[in-house]
This record gives sequence, structure tokens and C-alpha cells, in this order.
Amino acid sequence: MASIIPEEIMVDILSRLPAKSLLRFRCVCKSWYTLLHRPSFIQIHLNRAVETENDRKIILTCSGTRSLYSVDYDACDKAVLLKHPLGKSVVELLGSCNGLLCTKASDTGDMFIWNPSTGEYNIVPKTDTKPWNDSEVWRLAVFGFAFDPMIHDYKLVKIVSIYKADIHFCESEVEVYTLGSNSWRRIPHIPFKIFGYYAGVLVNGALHWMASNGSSELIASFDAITEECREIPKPQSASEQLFNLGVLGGCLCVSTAHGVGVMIELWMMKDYGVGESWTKIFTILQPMRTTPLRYLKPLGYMKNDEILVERGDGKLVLYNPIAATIRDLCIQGISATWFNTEILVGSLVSLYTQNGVDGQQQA
Amino acid sequence: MASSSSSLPSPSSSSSKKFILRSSDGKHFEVDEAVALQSEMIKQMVEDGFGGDVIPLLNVSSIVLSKVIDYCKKHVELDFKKKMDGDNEAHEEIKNWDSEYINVGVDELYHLIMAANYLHIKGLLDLTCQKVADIIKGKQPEQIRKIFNIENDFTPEEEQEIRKEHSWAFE
Repeated sequence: MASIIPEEIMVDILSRLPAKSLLRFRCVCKSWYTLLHRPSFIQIHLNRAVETENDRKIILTCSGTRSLYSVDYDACDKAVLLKHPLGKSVVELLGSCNGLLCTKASDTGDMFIWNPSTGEYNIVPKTDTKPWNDSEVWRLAVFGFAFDPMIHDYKLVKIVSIYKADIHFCESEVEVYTLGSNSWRRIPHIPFKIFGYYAGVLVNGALHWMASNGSSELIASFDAITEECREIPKPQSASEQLFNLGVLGGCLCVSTAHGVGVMIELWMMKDYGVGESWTKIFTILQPMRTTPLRYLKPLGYMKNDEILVERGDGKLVLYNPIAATIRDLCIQGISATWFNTEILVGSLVSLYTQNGVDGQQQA
Repeated sequence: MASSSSSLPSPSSSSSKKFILRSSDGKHFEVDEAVALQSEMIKQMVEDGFGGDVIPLLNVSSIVLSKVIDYCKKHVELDFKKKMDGDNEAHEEIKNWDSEYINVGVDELYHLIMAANYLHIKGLLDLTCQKVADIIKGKQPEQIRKIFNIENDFTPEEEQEIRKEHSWAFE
């Protein structure tokens, strides 16, 4: 092939490649090296990777080991052990966004933001722990990780729900970390208690958790730009118990249960923020189980339209919406149960080039 | 080619307006208006009043132009079919035809890319760029240099250093 391919076409071609190929091609020549580090190229590549979904990984932590694994989303065949910056700790996943993963060591509480594709990472400083107030009986922290397009920066949100003897007391402390400043700041308390131990579900530029306002269960959202917390309308079936949130095809989903986990349903909010747009995607009738399923967390569609679901018994399953069947996903190299999963897109996004500028503020 | 028996006008109906395209080596190609207008560049020329007799395409040889015209003809036909038969069936047919069409060597691919870029045929540019991406995806840097005729301007030490940075990408 002749060498004079115009740069804009070369950019088009290269933006279609998986992150791994691009890392390898950085040593082709000096001009490719420069191009493949350029923030504008990295952005074009990211946009295409998000749109085409052809370089995705399932990141999962596995029970029984202290390891973090990566599984190719489309092949779903074998698990590759990730060398993560937390070394030998048990790792919790706090969120995934634009190819960056936020993780926390369960034992030390150390947190990292890293790009598993490039290996670049940044240590998140610890937050100040406020001494407990006498009236407090428990504190529970949840996290979420998102991108703020207004300031072109990544935000890690920590919400600490405060439990008091008065069960109607309902308040949480909120702290926001921005990658660009590498620091935390407190923002006003919110009138919700956030449930669960899982990472905030990122949809439409906002993070979502199941929450309570003291009297009823609700879905709370945290907008990455405005940093405001609000309630999202839930499916209109009062008898249902809401469980877990997830995202499918860019839409917020919630799993609900009737009775004691006898029938689990998955609902999708087709128009974000519009309560009437909640649509039932599927129902799973559970045979008599010794341990009823606690939740279903949809992770995404497969190429054949099956739905990949993290199930409450620690299994990954594929649901076929046409045949209404479920099959277990067998992945080579890991035991059968997981703690938690995130979907990661392969990107070259750098932790040190916020605002599109090559600021070499290496940690 | 399948002839349409419906009362709707076929895309290749002989009554439609014709254009004559002239390749860089002086060969003439008569094509239907719909086929020629797959090219945004020709469309612009026509809108600007250059559609009169012969449209000279200075950067495209007859061999390449003939292949490009094949693409445009087929896509006019398939777009028409899509409107008639609905999306899914035509979508599958386009996919199959495209993958057969683009199964060419690297040199031919290069000429098709340059032609698609010059003529502004978005679908063809997309198809050719994706094909190159698929070809080079699993390759090593040495193979990439060969394919694109790129000279390695790194010193061996520099190259080693960059390779070390992302050693896992070479596994």
C-alpha cells in the first residue's frame, strides 16, 4: 500500500482498532507515536469504541481469590488475570467510565483510578473520616464514578448514609473527588439514604442507586455535572419490591420481585426520567430454591440479542428474550461465582491529559 | 440483474438521466443519475452546474472507477430494495455483498480508499477503512511498516523503550 494515505483517513482507520493494537502501533514510527498520544485522536477513538461497542471487556472480581479478571465481552470465553495496582488486596469495583476503572482495596481502603488498557493509574487520596456523632449507629458508604463533560474531568462520588436510632432520620454526606485536582471536597448533605454496596449505575451522565427517603424506597440519581441529587420515578406497581439497578442499551433498568423472590422481573426506563416509559423486559419464574435470587443486574446485549445478566447468586447468565430461556455462561479460568462486575470499553484515555491538554502532571 | 415487474420505477430504468464520467486515463463510463449521485463530489459538481456532458475525474483510473461504479450501482439497487422489501432482508444482503466486494488485496484497497475519499462516497470509504482496520488489527509493528511503506525513524533503543511501556500489548 502506498504511504501517502491522508492523515484524516489514517485517523479514521486507526480509530476502528482495539486499544491493544494501538498501543502496539505506537512504535511504528514517530508520527504514529505522536498521533496515537494526541488527545483529539484518543477522543475520536473513544467515541467510536463507545458507539460500536466492539472492544468491550467484562471486568470481574471473583470470590475465593483476590484477583481481578478481564473477559472479552463478545467472545465471553476465557478470563485473563489483570495485574492491578492494588497488588494482593481484595478488590471492589467502584465504577467504570470511558475506559477508566475505579477500584478500592477492601482491606486498606486504598482507591485507584486506572486505565487497564494502558496500565496508567492514579492514587485517589483518602477522605477525612469524620468522627461519629453520639446519635449515630451506623455509616454506610457507596461510590460512583462518572465523567463531567462540562469541565472535561472525571469524578468519583462518595455518599455516606448515616443511620441513627431514629429510623426516620434520613441524611447522607456527599464528597466529590475530581481527577484533575486530585482532591476531595464536601458538598451539601442529601435527604436520602443510599442502599446497597454496589457502584452507582451510570446512565445519561448521572449515577443511580436504590435509596430511601425515610418512608419509602426510591431510585436516586446524582448528576455528574450539577452534582444535584434527585429522585427518578420508578415503575408503577406498588406491590413490587425493587432490587437492583443496571443498564441495558443505554437505558436504566431495575429488577423487581413479587413475593419472596418467586418471580423476578426486569424493567427498563426507555425514555430517561419519564416514569410512563418503564417497560417490562422479561420475567423469570423461580423454581423452589433454597436461596431465592436477590437481584438481577443487566450488563448489556450480546451480538445475538441475548442479554448478559449478573444474577444474585453470583453467576453470569445469558437470557434469550425470544425463547425466554436462560443459560449459564461458562468462562474458562475462573470459579463459578463473582462478587461484582463492570463493563469496560477499551480506550487510550489518559489520566494526565484532562481538558485536552498534555499536562504531564504525573503522580 | 433482477428486473422489476412492479409499476414503481426501477432504479436502473432506461429512461432516467445519464451521466458520463471520464477516468484519469480517458475512458468514458455512462451511468444513471442515481448511481453518479452516490458521490457527494459529483452531486456538488452537478449542483454547481457542471453536470452537462462529461464529468472528468482526474484522480481515478478506469480500473478503479469501474470498481467504484459497481459499488454505487449495487447500492442504488439495494437502497431501492430496502424501501420495497423492508429493512432486515436488504440489510443482510448489503452486508453479504459488501464483504464479497471488499475481499481484495491491499493495493486495490488503497486505490479504492483514495477514490472513495476523492469522490466523497461515505459508504465506500467506511467499508474500505473498516477493511484495512480488520487487516491490520492483529499485526505487529514491522508488518504495519511494510503494509503502509513506513520507515521506522526510531532508534532501536527508543523502540525498545516504547515496547517496554506496553509490553502486554505485544503478547
